[in-house]
Amino acid sequence: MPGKLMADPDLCVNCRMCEMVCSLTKASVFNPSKARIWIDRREGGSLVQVHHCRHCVVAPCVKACPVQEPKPIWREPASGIVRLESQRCIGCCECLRACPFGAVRFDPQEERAFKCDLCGGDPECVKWCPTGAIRFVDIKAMGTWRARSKGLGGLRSSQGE
Amino acid sequence: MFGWTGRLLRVDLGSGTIRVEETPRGLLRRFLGGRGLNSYLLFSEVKAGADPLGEENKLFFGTSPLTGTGLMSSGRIHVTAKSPLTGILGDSNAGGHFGPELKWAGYDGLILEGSAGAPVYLWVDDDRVELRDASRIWGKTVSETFEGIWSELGDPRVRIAAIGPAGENLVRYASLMTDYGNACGKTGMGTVLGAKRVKAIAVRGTRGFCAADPQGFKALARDLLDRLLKTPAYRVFSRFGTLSYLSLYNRQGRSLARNAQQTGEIPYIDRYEPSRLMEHVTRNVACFGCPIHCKHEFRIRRGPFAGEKGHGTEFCILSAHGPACGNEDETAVLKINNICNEYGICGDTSGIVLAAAFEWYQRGIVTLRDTDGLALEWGNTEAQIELLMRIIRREGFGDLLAEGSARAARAIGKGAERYVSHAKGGDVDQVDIRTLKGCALADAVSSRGADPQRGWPSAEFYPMKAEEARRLFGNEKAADPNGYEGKAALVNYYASLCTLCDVLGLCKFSSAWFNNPIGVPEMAALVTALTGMETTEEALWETAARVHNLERAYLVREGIRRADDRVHGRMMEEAVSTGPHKGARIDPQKFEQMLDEYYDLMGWDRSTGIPKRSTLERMDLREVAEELSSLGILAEDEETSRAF
Repeated sequence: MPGKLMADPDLCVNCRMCEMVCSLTKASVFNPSKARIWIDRREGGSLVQVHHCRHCVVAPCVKACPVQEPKPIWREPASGIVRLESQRCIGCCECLRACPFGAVRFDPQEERAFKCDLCGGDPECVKWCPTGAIRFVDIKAMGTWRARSKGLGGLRSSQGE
Repeated sequence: MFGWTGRLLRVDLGSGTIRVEETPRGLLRRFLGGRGLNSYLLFSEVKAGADPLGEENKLFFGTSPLTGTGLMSSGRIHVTAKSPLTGILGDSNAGGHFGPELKWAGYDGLILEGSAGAPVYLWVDDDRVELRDASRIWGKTVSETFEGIWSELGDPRVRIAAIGPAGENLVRYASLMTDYGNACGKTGMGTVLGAKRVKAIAVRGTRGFCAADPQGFKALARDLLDRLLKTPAYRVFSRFGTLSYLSLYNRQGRSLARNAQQTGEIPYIDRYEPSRLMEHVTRNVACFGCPIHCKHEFRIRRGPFAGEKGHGTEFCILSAHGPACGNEDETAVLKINNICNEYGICGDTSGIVLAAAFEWYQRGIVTLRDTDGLALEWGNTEAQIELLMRIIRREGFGDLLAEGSARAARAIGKGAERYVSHAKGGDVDQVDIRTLKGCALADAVSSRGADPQRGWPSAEFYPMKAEEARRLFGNEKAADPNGYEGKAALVNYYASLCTLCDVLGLCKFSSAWFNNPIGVPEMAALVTALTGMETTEEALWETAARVHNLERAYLVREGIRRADDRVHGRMMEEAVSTGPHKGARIDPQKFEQMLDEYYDLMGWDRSTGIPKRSTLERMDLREVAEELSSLGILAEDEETSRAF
């Protein structure tokens, strides 16, 4: 398992460049509703949430999918990537309902679910994030990552929120 | 269609008719989008002499090809109408997330015409567009309006542009707020919306759009991002934004205080040092797609307003409501910043108006009786805030000031006009243009009245090598701030650069105007990859010139002539009285020479300032020439030419 996508909302400035590079890379369009990662910042509030797939080991979305084996959504043990094959998706949205992170999304035109596949192990959103708020972290180093990330961005974090 | 959406949304507020029209391809080719398209629509759809607050005025929202692409700083919206403040072309450009959302909803532009009987707001949900009752949010502040609309529509991710009470009360410089803390401030676009009884526009866009060459576009955007992140200025600007400018200009001896009576050497500048201002900042925030994230969220740490939170604040409001009003307390400016955001009034213009009022009081032109008992003594922040609130409510003396500084001065008489520095009704910003001759020319010829964002020649602010100046402007002395030589080419260069940013939907902070990587060659490559329309650098320069000529044609149709192309008031009449630039002034004769040169370069008639027919035809503006000709305006130009 190569690593995990991690986001630090304190470093996020809500520029949403990750959304755009994701929609451009994965769907060849400029359209944040097609992005596999999305920022939720209630305008006026300081709370920022970065919604993205955690590629769970025991993935609720995989469990929830009612389609018989082989399921259109599955976890690839070697890479640790939870993949979704839209062509075989039946559009029931059970995976959206099951995901605790809001990471699986639904395309109303195609009527199919879609989600992050970590760009096969080299995520574009990480490369484009200008503040280093999104990182692809080696799983062995994860324990110390959050503490270290505080010193890297050069931004003041929100206080007392 | 690539890059553009190919659709315009037209809303007739009187009848409630909503139409989607095809964007004429010819217009996109000639004007690209944003400011160019808006200005063309204003010229062709709003007749000369229209009342800015009447039903005949229209409001144009323009997205641009690069808007919403995720290219750095592509989150702009351009709003245009006839200005209630200046009576000429009014427009304003704001960041945030509203512009991209409108583009993703599938629109190159939105046109509001007529006026609604009862207050409404427009709800654009991709193809589903409706006018909704706004009686419950009418009279509310901007954040209350946002909350009200979000709860009514059940989605807090809907992007909103709204006016506050100042716009409803028709204060002539009311702003239109997009998201929190992003304002279309100048020239009163919020006032036009208020006159139309439109409280807000709410948008949710999920249609998106495509690029002709997505991989090529992505590679260009990546390269520009890498170059930006490596510039030395990036680390500083991404932290402070424009907060460091006041002390920077003070060090250069160009800051202004007490309504431009003092230049440089502000004694209380420590109050406005960026390090002190940053003590209030809690977080940096970006507009859509922007790695620069120059905006801030703050919480006031000291003083009577301690604990209050807010958004934004930048150089213009700091200088206008700070030293210009003799205000020595930065926390009061932060409080005023919040008032401007919440009540929807231009922070820049309102500060300059108040500064003029303070000077009128100092000189006895207005007295306690005129000000309804407010002692407008320099640094009296209580009176400053109270008078701002009275402007917003249009009460007493505030009602007069709500007309704008130039109009108020004319109404007061007694020499009040001398203390108002403006060009075509647009207030001159708080940097001393007597020490920057090119900036003075740029203000004088700007199509929306004095304004740095129309392209103050930034080369005057930093030392530029002689060879570089010769290469760019054809004259090695052009970038000398105190000289008068070669200014026409200098001003035109930067005005064109800024116009291209407004036309393409870029923030000027990421452009070559700010010494950042997006220059005109980069713009040409981006437009080509995005739209598939082969675009060269030369073609873009020509587009900028076309927009300048179009806007000029609009101005001359409204009666603007050479005599209006100047800065009025102290900036033109007095020399600098304090600081390292003491004695600096604008030589009237040399100013006229600069103007001559500028007209020659632009192809405008020297005596009238009217574009020549040959110029308009060369710019592919034949129908504009026909219109001016049918009104007898081009003939006027030809007659004077013969007389010479």
